[in-house]
Amino acid sequence: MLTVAELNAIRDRVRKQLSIREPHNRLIIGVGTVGIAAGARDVMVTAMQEVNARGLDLVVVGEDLAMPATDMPVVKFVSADGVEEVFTRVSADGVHEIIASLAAKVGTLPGV
Amino acid sequence: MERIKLTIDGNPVEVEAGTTILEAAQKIGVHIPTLCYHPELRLEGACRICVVEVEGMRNLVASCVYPVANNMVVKTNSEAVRRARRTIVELLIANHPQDCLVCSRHGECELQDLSRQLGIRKVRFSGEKRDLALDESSYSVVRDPNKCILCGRCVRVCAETQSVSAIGMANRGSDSIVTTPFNLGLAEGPCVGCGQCINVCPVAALREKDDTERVWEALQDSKTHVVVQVAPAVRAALGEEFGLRAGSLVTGKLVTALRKLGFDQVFDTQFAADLTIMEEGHEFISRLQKRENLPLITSCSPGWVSYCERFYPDMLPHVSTCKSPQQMFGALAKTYYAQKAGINPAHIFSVSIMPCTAKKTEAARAEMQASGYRDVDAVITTRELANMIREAGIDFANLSEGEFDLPMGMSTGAGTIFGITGGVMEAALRTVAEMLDGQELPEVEFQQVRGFAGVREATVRIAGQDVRVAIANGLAQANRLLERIKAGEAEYHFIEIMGCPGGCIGGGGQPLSKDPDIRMKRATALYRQDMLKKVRKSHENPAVQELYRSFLGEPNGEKAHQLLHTHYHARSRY
Amino acid sequence: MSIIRSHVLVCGGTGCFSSGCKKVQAELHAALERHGLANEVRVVESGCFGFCKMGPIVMVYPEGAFYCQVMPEDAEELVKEHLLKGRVVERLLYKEPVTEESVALFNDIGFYKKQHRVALRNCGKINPESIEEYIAHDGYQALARAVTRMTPEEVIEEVKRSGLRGRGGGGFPVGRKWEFARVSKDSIKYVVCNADEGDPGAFMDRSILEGDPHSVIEAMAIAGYAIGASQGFVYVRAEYPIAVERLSIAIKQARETGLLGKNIFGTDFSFDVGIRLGAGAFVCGEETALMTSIEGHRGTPRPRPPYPAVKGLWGKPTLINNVETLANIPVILLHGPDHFASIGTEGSKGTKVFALAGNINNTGLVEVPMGTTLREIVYDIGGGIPGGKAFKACQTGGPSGGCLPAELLDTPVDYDSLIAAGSMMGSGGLIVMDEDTCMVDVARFFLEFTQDESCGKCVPCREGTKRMLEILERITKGQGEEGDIQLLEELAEVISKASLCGLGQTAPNPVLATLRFFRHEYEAHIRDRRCPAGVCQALLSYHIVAEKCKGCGLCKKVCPVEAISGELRQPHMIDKDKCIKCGACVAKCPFKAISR
Ligand SMILES: Cc1cc2nc3c(=O)[nH]c(=O)nc-3n(C[C@H](O)[C@H](O)[C@H](O)COP(=O)(O)O)c2cc1C
Ligand code: SF4
Ligand code: SF4
Ligand code: SF4
Repeated sequence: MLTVAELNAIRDRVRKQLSIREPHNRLIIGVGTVGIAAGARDVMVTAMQEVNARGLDLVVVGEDLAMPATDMPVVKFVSADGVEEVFTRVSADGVHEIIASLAAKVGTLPGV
Repeated sequence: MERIKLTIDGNPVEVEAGTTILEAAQKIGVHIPTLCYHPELRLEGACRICVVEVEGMRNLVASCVYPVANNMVVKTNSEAVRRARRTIVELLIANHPQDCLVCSRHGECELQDLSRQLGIRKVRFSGEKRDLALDESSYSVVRDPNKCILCGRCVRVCAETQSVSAIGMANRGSDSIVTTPFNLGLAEGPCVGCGQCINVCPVAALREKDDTERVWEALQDSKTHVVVQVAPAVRAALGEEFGLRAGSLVTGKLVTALRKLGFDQVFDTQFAADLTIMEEGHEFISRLQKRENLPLITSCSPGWVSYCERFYPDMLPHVSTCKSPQQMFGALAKTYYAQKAGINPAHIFSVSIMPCTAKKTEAARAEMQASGYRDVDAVITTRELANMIREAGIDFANLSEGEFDLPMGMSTGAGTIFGITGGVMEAALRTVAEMLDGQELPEVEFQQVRGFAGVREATVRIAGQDVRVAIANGLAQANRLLERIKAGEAEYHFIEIMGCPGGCIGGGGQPLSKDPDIRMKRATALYRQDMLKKVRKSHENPAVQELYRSFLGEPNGEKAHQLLHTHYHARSRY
Repeated sequence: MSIIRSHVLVCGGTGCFSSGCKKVQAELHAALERHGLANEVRVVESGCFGFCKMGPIVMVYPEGAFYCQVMPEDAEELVKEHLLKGRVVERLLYKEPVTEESVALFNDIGFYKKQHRVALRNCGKINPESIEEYIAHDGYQALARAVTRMTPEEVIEEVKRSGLRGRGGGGFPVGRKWEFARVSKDSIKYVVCNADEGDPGAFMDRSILEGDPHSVIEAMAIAGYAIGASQGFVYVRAEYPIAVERLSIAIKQARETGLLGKNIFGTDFSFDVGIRLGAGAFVCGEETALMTSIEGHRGTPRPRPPYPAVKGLWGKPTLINNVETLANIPVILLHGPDHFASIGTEGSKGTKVFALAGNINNTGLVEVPMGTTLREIVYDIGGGIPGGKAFKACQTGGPSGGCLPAELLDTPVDYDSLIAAGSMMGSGGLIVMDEDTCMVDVARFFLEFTQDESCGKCVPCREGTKRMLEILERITKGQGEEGDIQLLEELAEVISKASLCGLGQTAPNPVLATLRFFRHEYEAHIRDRRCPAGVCQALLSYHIVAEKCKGCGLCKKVCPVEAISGELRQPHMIDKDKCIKCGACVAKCPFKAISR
């Protein structure tokens, strides 16, 4: 037997996993050829771990962002209501700070 | 019960809730034509001939299945209804052989009747027609799928009334057919040859295997000595074929007609029925005393015997080893009678007139040659006899009354009632009771075993003991009874089972009838004849007594066993 | 620990299954492995996206990029470019048929833009083999609400208020049907989901069962609670193996999770669902035939009354609803009947799924609010007629419906408007026909189907449709006679008024509708021995228009039976006795000089 509370718990847990399919806030990492060469993959992996650890309502996306090579790696935040913020020459450490600064803005997923 | 008020064709009607429109219409004398409808079978609503218009409904409804409702306004004859009915009949005719003039149902076909009733003069449709093979595999029933109009009555009677399901619907749409398992033919399936399907078929798609030609041949041959026996139920029904009132007893005219047809000796199956009681009565007493293989179950209905062989092989030891009266008669005709009359049995052709199609299959069984010849050479049904009488130009209704030939034409009232469900039981009780009690019965009629209920039971006090008996008519009822016995819910000493509803009077070879009381009327005729008989107990039949004295010896004796008893085989259904 | 940053949904519906989605999935996995992304990207098999013509379909989340006709060999590029480097693979995107523009996002595609997905809400969005994904999309919340916080009467009241009508063809108000089943007194009742879907070309029920089986199970449980039943059956045709499998998995998961079985949500309501396979006869979708079939007999209809709600399966009160009907139920209970009723028209609430097929650019499943016009469906969603041909007619309601002509393209699709226009909603087949369609032939085609599917029980349908078909065949063979049209109409009337079940009652509809809107085509066939659309072979007569013929001789060369003669640069001639009407010359002639 399943109780309604248990049903809700499953819903909230899985909803978090599925937030990828209906993203609200997006953190876009520039992962084009130049970005990867500049270490964007590391930035991306770190970002994902951090977002996950904090349970944020934020989806990490890889995209080929058109930016000067000198600015790479680039990270762009797009909020649910379309407000954008761009960070350049981001290191794996730097991404921790960026995410910390966005945490309040995006909030956490339900049930976390 | 709630009462419902409605109007049909402008006439107010009040009926019980749950009544169909058709029944309500019948009540006020409004005739709605039907085809797939049969009062004794499950409702199908399939043929759509009985459609009527109900105010407020977009479509026409089938009156045979549609229940009445308060304030319903029904029109049974509107333009839309008439158009639909006519079109349906035209459609059926368009896919039907147009050989009415030479059809065995000519004049007795419900499709023909409908066409006449609706005044159909032209069929607007033409196109592909079915072209299927006849099924002539069975000794009893012939199926002509080309004539079948797929009303499904036969399928229902075989499944519902008879619990056999030898035929069923197969294929879809315009390829639909009624057929046998794996399309192998009736003889290869569970069919018991009862002919109930023929009786309900509205057209000639089912008919008895016609054996009249063989009889005509024998009659025409001066070197052949033709003897005939007539089953009891025939005399209570044959008159219907010649416009006499249902329930007319035509024994005397029947005898005269047979003589006119040229039969050399006209005998009575009832003689053999009395003989059967002697044999079966002794068998019962012996089993009762030995407490062996009880209950004893009668064996005179070949439909039932076939059914038991296929569906209840484990019950076969209970079935009496006595042959049916027809076959006892056959065995004696070519031995006892031949000897007595000094005729070479090889020159005797033995015919029986039966209400039953299963008898045709029975006579053809390999065991039925106790005389050294085929004991019964040809079996024709009441309907076939009527055809012969008509063909011979005999004015049946105005014939004088003849008498059966002796000795095998002599019979008692007990032999007469063999034709009715419960009759064999009653005849047996008359004899068994006197034999066991050793004194004359105060009352020969055993009303407690009479009636038409599917299964009946009674307890009869004989020689200080309670004898429990049961009677079933129709194989679905037999099935019900046997299942109860197998489940240990009932226990009997003696059981009578007849394959057809009502017993032989309702047999598959009897005149077709739409009279819902037909079985009752025929039964009444036979009971009346029983009452008029001077001798009403089989063991008092002087001709039977003489038979034992001069020929057979003891009942259940060695000679009797050789000629009058048989054995059964478990048979596979498919 | 692996953190997933992307979901790749690969359609696993029957349509995409047959176009090779399993292979695509395997290649995607391999490519992800090669590029070291297997821990970041998850490949999920989803239900049908509805756009089967474009299958196999792959959706990449979180971007929501919509890739069509993805072949196994495309997997490497997809992974390397999109998933590794974040570059959308342009060449695999969907292109609008008219503008030729590529569209990246699902919601921007014309085919989807005007759709409103209620019944198909989860199809293509969730993994149908995961009860958790269904639950994450508010699955089983409606059931929870019904059994823990509502009385059965309240549930029925909400369904009634939603205005939902049956999607299986009849359009009977669902709430009222539930009420009938509720008031029937019996301790045993049944809920049956009709998933027989016999209408050729329709596959919405299959898609729902394949893409969102739990929505149907949840709805059946709600129905069971409402009417007082504890056992349900899904009658699904055996030709739907994927649907059957997904449904079995879903039932198993629901039982394991405790959403089916005893004491659901701790109440005293118990419910279970079983699957019964249908043999795939069209008539077995008819409710009484369906029940007869479940009972183990030959699936033929029986007369009503008694209605299933009074005397159904094994003589017990039975509620029968269609798959799509049921898929709407959880939404009604979740978002409220008034929200549901705000979609659609006065008499037809909510949405309807159609299976678009025929001469149309975008074939597939579309779900639109009731009241959307045929024109919007055909042109805005369907992308119009291919090859620049003209629209001639569209058939709604499958073989039981009728053809509507171009003049009626602005008919809103709802139960009543379609009937008023001379067709019907049916289960949602929508076949578009272009100018090259012969309407007599169309009528013949549909009648051939129903005639073939007639169960044969009743005379008007069994014998009547056969004769109608023969008449139509005669007409298309050029052997039509004066009076045939009248005979067709008379037969049609009797068949529709007197047949036992809906199959026969509606079988003449395609003939009646084409007679109503395209009578002149029948007359041309019968009187002029001519098929205006040039479809009926027997009526074609090829000849060369002398004024147009330049005498190039191409036709003469291509003719397989040497029926064409003529001198070079002189008009050629076709010998009608030799011509076998193959049409090769017509296709070859550069000057369109050959007419038929
Ligand atoms: C010939 C025929 C075929 C049918 N086939 C289907 C079918 O495949 N699926 C279906 O849901 N209903 C079908 N129906 C309708 C059902 O009889 C029934 O009305 C329906 O399942 C009720 O569900 P609903 O009220 O939810 O529509 C068919 C009806 C007829 C007459
Ligand atoms: S003869 Fe009797 S058993 Fe045989 S098919 Fe007819 S009804 Fe059935
Ligand atoms: S054989 Fe006779 S009774 Fe049987 S379906 Fe055909 S017409 Fe009806
Ligand atoms: S209308 Fe057709 S499908 Fe329906 S019962 Fe009659 S024959 Fe069968």
